Amino acid sequence: MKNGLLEINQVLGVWGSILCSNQGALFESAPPTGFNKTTLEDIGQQAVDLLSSAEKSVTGLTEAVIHYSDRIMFLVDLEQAILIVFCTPSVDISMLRMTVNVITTRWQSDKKVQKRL
Amino acid sequence: MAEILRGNLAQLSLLDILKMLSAGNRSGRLDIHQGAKSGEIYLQYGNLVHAVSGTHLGEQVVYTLMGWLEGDFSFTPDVEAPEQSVSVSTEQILLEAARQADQWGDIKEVLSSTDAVFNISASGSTNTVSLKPIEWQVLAQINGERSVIEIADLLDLHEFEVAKIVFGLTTAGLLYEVTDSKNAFREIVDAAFFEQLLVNFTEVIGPIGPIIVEDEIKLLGEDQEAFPQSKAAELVERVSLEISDSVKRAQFQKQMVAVLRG
Repeated sequence: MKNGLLEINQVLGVWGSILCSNQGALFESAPPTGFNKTTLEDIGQQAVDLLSSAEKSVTGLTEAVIHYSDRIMFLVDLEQAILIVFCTPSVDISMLRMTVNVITTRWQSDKKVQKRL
Repeated sequence: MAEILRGNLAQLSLLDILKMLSAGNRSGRLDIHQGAKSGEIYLQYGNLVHAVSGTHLGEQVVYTLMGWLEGDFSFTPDVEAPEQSVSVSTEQILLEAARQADQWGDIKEVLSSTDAVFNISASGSTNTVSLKPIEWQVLAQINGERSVIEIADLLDLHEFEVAKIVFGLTTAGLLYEVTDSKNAFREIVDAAFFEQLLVNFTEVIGPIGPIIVEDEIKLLGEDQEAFPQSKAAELVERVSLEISDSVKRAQFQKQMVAVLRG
């Protein structure tokens, strides 16, 4: 899983990425520098809350792109987990979305990853 | 609910779309996307009842959206407006929009696009110039780097308003467009990219591949001969959505991500 996150981090404009459980617990991380476990789990929890409340209004919602003034947070609901990608505004969202799709599709057929999730 | 109308503003202007929906007494939601920005316009039996974009609401949003020369749109019928923010009649809005569209015509003589960057002219105007406070605020943000659209965002003003002011300041001789700015030249994808795209896509989807690619290029408001690098990933993503098998789609995306990374 770590390798997958590191691949995501190679997309231009990506700052770091983490994978959390549906309860916000940290599964795996390749985070931006300066983030400790507590902060990451805090972010994970907020991402879970945000996606679950958004899902109440938008059926079938599986991703969210949150634009802050100088950062973008890309959230993907993987059913058993939530992927959080920290980006700069220069990120090419299509490139990121395709890279994430390639990796998460690979994870779906990887028994080791499925066991961990 | 299925979309019944989808396209790019480069092919069909928002004014024409609204005229069409209004004349057809349509109800539903018109979604417009331009990069990270988006807007929604709700119609009820052909009347514009609600418009929203970011934190802005009401008819001003419609006028702002009219200024978007590019961007994807889609109309989903029978979606009810969550609230009513438009206070004037649809006729009035369409008339005002047509008037602004005319003004856009004049503005575009000076502004190549809302991505255009301006700088302050060293020679200035030969006449005495008096500025309104809002014009001064816009002038103070002109630095040879910020685009018209960035200034509008920064000052929380509508694009049209800023474009009109920049147009006025430029015709008064106070500003000039920076032609060699970061936005003036766009990098174009090379022929090898399209070769790879067509080969990989046709392999997975069959002989209809080139037609889908051509359609998506048009929907993005672009031309294959001068397709910008900045939209290459978006094009690949859009065509990949035509592949219904998720594993094959991921495989195609993997090949194309490698091509895009060079």
